[in-house]
Amino acid sequence: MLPDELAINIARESSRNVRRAILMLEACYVQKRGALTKDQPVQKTDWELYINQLAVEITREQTPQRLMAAREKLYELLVNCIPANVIIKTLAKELMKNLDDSLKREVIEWAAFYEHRISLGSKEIFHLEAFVAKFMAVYKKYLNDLFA
Amino acid sequence: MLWVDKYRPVKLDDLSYHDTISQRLSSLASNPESMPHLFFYGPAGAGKKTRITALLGSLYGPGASRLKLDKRTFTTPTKRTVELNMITSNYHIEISPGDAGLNDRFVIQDVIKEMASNKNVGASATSSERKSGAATFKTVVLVEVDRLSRQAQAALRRTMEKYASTCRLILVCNNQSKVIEPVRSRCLGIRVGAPTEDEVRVKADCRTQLDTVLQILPLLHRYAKS
Repeated sequence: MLPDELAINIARESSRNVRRAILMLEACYVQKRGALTKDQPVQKTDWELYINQLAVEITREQTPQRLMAAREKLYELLVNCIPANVIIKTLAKELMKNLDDSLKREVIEWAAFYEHRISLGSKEIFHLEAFVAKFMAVYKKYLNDLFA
Repeated sequence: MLWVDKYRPVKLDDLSYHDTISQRLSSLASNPESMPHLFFYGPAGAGKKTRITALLGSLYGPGASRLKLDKRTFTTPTKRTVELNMITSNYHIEISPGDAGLNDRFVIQDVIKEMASNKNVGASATSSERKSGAATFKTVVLVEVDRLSRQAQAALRRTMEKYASTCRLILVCNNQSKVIEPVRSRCLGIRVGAPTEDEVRVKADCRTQLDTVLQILPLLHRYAKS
């Protein structure tokens, strides 16, 4: 029934979370209407893709307009009941993927800083946005230094 | 129904990993009078809730799985009302007091007092009817205790001692460091870790899709480490 290759992929994607693994498996099952194939892609959840997209956007362009767009995306995530600490953690991890090593430490540090503020404060969106703005500032500075 | 719910193991014997925890839980369930308050902690999706449901099942029998969803309103001394969802059976109540925000203190006190004030139906029945070894207390399952305020946690310590004879608490959370030490020390802590390779035990079942679901577990364990 379940090809080993697919099971391995699901296991990798699920990050040791059994609930997630089984949900992913069911998603695969429904997608192919019961026939599981070994090379079928494991669907990430929509919110993960959404955060991924957000990360790509804010690394591509650091402008006030982009920040406004990011705010909308963050609101969208929050109204869909994704907890703010999950958002900031996932976002930081996504940003790590295409970031220069010299910046990683700083970005992680800010992520931790704003995550702490999220748990202290009551308005999550402020701190999420502040993190995005901070990231933009840090990244822009890095780019300017690089090409200056 | 989602597979996650459909194929959730319902008995302690059906659990497929963390055998030591399952054994400890079944020995607690076999001698309910000596069961302390319990404190489950561990990452999401590791099986804390599944283990609790299984434990309740073996404490109270099938009655514990006849659940109904209740919406209750609580009034705080300052005349503010808080609405909260809870899942109840005849024997236990499950509530997420963190949802009450700042008023969580009153909510948990109210709930525990109410549960403790009327005795378990099974216990009040005449001794001949009573199933031997059945638990005589009710259980309050508090989920997401790490979201409780400090005040609520402090209030909990007195409450949980006072009503210990008629009511047991099961606390659930992801992060035990957010629960104050006095509350932790009043409970038997049970860490449910994310599955690892060594604890794999897969049980084949004749139900069609379940085979598929269970097949995923060993692989999950194998790749969990890499």
